[in-house]
Amino acid sequence: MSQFFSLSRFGRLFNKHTTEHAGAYAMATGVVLGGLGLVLGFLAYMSSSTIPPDVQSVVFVIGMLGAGAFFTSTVLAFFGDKKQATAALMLPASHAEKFAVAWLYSLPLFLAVYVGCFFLVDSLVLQLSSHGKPAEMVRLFGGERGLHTSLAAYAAVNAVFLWGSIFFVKQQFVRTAFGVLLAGALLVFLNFQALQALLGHELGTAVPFSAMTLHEGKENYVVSLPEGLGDWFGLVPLGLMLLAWAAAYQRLTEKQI
Amino acid sequence: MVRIRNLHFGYSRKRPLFQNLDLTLERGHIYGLLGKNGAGKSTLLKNIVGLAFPDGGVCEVLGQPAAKRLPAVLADLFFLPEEIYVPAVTAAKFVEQTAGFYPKFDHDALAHYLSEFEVPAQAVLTALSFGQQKKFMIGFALAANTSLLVMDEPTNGLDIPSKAQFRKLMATALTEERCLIISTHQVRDLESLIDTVVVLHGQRIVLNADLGELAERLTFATVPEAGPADLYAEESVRGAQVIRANRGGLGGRVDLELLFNALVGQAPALTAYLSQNQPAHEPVL
Repeated sequence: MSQFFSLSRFGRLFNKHTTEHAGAYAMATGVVLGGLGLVLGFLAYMSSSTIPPDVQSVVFVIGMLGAGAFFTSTVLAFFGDKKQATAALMLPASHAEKFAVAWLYSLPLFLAVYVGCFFLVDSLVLQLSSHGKPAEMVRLFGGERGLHTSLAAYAAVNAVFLWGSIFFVKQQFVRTAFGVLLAGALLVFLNFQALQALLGHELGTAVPFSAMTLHEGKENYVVSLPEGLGDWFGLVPLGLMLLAWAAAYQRLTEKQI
Repeated sequence: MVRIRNLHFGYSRKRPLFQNLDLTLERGHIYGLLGKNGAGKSTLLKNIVGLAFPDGGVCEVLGQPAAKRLPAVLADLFFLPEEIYVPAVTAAKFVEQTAGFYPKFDHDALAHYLSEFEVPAQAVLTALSFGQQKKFMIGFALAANTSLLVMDEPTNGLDIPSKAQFRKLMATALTEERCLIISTHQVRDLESLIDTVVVLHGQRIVLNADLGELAERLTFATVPEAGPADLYAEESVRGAQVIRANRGGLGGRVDLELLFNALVGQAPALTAYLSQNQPAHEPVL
């Protein structure tokens, strides 16, 4: 049997994790349903007609990123508690299997449950608030306002918060969020200062991995990569996501009590 | 079973806990690991089971580096920490979900252990008292039937009858294929249970010896007054408790507490005596 990954061992671990956390996960699903119901219900109550698809999209994305980041912060958080970490690390399963259970719950399973909850509540609220008139529901895939791109954004958020859930031993969500904000602000500041020093010009804006604007007299100029090459910037979040997952896994293998 | 060579470990570089520590533990023995508070007993056990990584040296369990925490090694090793964690499920559900990880798990033996300890199988584990939780986990640990069973202060939280039950069950659980390690600072809990005593003191193992061999070499007595020939003596309300060289050759009972006090205190005569013709295991003292 492989010492890195065995499907039967993984299945056993997944079952054990599910059994021991079923109650908490059921309650969390109830909270998501209730929260979405409250927000969408309030918006429907406040609007004269049904909730526009754009507003539904905003609720979907903010809810997914917020609830997902919070949930992801908990899936490996028990490694911060010595007693739970000892029990988890001593369980005869590989680090890859232990990581895979957390990843599976925090990404595909969370998305499946969240998307299901959102569309269930959204359809109910639209039905109740439309008074028989046709109401447009936001689409998950396809169309101009398809939400599928936000699912990819969630994967990147998941990677960072999964790393935070094992890197920090307490207050994982708050500490990771604070770290992300601090790192982002620092990156923007240093990027701006470095580019200004390199060009010797006063800059308008210089967002990392993006175009920048220059002031030359009364003129403003935009410096950006040729069309086509700019698409490569899309790989940055993908690279960061893979790096954060790898870092979280590595942290698990190095975990000591 | 357990092979430690030249182990260096410390939570801080400036204050090492172990330096050049050597230890070999074999199958077919129940080892009692003794040490003062803060000597590093729990830390040594964590190194053995792979919960702490050596700063230097080798720490192997079942032929593999412990720090790798390979599933095959973990399936043949059970570690019962001093402070245990139990999930909010019934004992029966826990067994159903966890026993499968241990290929040699013996369900009949578990039923016997739980019955001896009077732990209800249908109770939710988190609703049990700490002592009951500990007894359940001791039963589970023994039933897992792993080659290596490591217990850190297992009798903490047990009532007096349960301690006796624990000693009885541990004694029956030992086979030629198993190695049991019990760490404690309550020396009395180990008497009549362990066959080999390991004493950790001053960053290293100062004794790793078979109790039978120690009994053949030493006698323990309470006398009105200590004499110059005594290897170690300490005053008590009943007179002087002494350790003497066993000239007669007949093995008696080893007073673990007195021996431990001698080893961690100042007992150069005992040290010198035990260093002569060291019977087994590590180069001690």
